[in-house]
Amino acid sequence: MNAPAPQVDLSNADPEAVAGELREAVLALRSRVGGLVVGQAGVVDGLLTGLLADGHVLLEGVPGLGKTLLVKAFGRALSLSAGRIQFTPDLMPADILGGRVLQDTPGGSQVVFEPGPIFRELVLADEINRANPRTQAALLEAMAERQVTLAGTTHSLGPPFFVLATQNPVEMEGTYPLPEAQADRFLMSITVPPPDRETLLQILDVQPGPGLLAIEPVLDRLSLLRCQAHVRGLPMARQVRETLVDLVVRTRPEHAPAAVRPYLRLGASPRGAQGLLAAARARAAMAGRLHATAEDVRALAASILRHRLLLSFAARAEGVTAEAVLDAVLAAG
Amino acid sequence: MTSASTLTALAVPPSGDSAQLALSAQVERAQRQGAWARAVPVAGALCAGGAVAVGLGASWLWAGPGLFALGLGAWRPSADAAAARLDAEARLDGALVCAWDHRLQTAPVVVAQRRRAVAALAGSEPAVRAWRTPSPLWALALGLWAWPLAERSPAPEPGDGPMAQTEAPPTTPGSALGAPTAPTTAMAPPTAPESHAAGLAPPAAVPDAGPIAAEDGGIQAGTRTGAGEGDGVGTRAGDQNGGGGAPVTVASNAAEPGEALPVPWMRTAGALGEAAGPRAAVAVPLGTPPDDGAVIDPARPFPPRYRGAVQRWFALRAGRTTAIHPGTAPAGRTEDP
Repeated sequence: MNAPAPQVDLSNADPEAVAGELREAVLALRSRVGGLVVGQAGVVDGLLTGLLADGHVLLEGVPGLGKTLLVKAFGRALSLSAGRIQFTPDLMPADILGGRVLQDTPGGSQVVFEPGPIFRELVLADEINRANPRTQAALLEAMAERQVTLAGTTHSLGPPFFVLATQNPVEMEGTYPLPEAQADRFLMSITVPPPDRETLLQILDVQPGPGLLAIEPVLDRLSLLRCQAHVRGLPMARQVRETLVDLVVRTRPEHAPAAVRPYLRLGASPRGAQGLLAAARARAAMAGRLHATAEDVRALAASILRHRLLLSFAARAEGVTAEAVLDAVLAAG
Repeated sequence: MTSASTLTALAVPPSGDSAQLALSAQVERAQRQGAWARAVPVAGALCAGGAVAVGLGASWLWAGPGLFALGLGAWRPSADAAAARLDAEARLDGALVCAWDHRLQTAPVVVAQRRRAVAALAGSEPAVRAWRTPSPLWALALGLWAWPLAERSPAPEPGDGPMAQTEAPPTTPGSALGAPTAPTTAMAPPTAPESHAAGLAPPAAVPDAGPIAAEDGGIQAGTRTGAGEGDGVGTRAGDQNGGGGAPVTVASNAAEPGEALPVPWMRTAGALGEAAGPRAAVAVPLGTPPDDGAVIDPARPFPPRYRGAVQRWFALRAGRTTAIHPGTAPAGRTEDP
C-alpha cells in the first residue's frame, strides 16, 4: 500500500528552482536509462513526458526490443515503489487489485484487505493485451480515478501512480485488444522502433555488467510530485490552446480533412485534448521552458492521439494506419 | 483610438509586478509604433497623390477621403497583435504572447514565465522598435512615379476640357480618327489657345460651350464661328490671337454627356469653372510636327514664391522641346500673371 500522499505546495516555491531541478532530473534520467537501453532516446523522452504529465504510457513493439528492460530501468531510476504484473489469459482481477483474505492475528482470525500489485507507485503491466477483458477492465477505475473499490471500500492509489504497459501489436493470437475505453486511459502510446544497423552494433558492443543494479535513483517521490505540480502550472497561450483544440476536432470524421474522412470512425475524446495539453506542458518543462508552444502540441499529437482514433473498415481494408491519418490531420492545420 | 484590449492592458492590478508593468509598457509602445508605421505611408501617399492631383488641377475634394484614409491608416494595432508582433520579431517562440495572455495571473510560475519573457525581449532589437516606421521620403518615390502621369494627362485649360492637337482631321463626318489631311489645332479657349499638347491618341477635345453636334458620339467637327450643330467638318478663319494665319481645320471629339475623361477620377480646373487668368497664344504654323513633349502651363497659378522654380522648370522643358522640334520654339509663350 502506498504511503499517504504528501502535500505539495508550490505557492512559496521558486519556479525557477523547481524548473532547474526538473531539468537536471531529466538529463540524469536520460543519461542513466539511455546508458542501459541503447538507441531508444525517443522512447525515454516519451516515458519522461508521461511521467511529468502524470499520465500512463502504453509501449507498443515487437518482442525483443527491450521494452521490459526499459520500463524496469525507468522504475529503478525513479526511486518509486514498483510492481510488475505479467498479464496472461488466466489472470484474474483479484490478482491485480488484491482481495480480502482471512488472516490470523494475535486477536484472532479476521478478514483483512490484501492489496494487489496495483498498489504501487510504478506499475509495469507487461503484455497487457494478453489478459482477458474482465481483467483489463479491472484497471479502468485504477487508471482513470486512481482508486480501487473492493467490497464497498475505496482505496486510493498514489500519488504518484504511474502505469507503464507494454503490448505486442504483431502477435495477436490469444490476445484481447484493448477496448477503446481502456486505451483512452493511457495518456500516450509510444511505438518502440526496431534499432537500425548502427544502433544494433552499439547494442552488441555493450559489455555485460551490473545492468539494472547500476542505476541509482535520480528522482525521489517528493521531487517527482513537485515537478508534476510545476508542470501542471505552466501557462499556455490561448493561441496554442486553440491550435490544440483545432487539432483534436479535426480528428473527428465530420471535421476531418476530406482525404482521410472515410478512414475515421471516431475521433479523439476530450480526455485526449486534456492529455495533449498536459503532455505539451511536460515537454516544455523538459526543454527548460516555462510555457508550452504549438510546436509542443504538434510534436506530441501522434503519440497522444494515435490510440484514441477508431479507424473505419475502409482504413483497415486499405492498410491505412492511425499515424497516416494523423499526419494528414496535422498537415491540414 | 484606444481599443478595449488597450484598456485592459493598462488595467494593471496593484500587484507591483515589475515584469507586468514592463510588459504592458512594451506592448503599449509597440502599439504606438504600429500606428505610426501605418500612418506614415498613408500620409505619404496622400501627400504625393494630393500634390499630383493639385498639379493636374484637381479639386480639393480629394482631401476629405484622404483624411478619412489617413484616419484609418493611423488606427493602432490591438494589444494582442502588438504582443504577437513583438514575440515574432524577437523570436521568443510564443513566450511573450503567453505572458501577455496571462498578464493578470499571479501564480508563481506564471510570474516567472512573464519575467523570463520580458527579460528575453529586453535584450532584443524589437524591444526598441517593433514596427519600422518608414521614412517620410517614401512619399517622394510615389511622387516620382506619379509625375509621368501628370505629364501624360491632358492639360487642364480654363473653361475647357482636355484638348489635343492632331495632324490630320477627318475629311468626312464620322471618319476615323487621325485620317491625315491637314494639320489641325485643337480648339482653344477664347483666351488661351496656346495649348499644343499632343501625343495622346485619340485626341479628345471637349468643347467649351457644350458638345458640337455630338449627338452620335462620333468624331465631330464644326466651324468655330458656326452654330453648335455643325456638319462635322469646318474651318476656322485664322487664329484670333494672331497665330498662324492660314485657315485650319478644326476637329474635336465631342464627349457624350457622362463620357469619361482621360483622367476620370479628376475634375479639371476648367470643369470646375475656375479662371486661370489671361494667357498668351502660341502660334502653331501649319505643318508643325506634333510636339509630344509639349509644355502645358498649369491651369492653376502657382503661388508667387514658387514662380521662380516653376519658370525655370518650364524654361528647361522648353529648351528640350526646342531641341527635339526646332520649329516649335516656345517664342510666343508668356508667363502667367
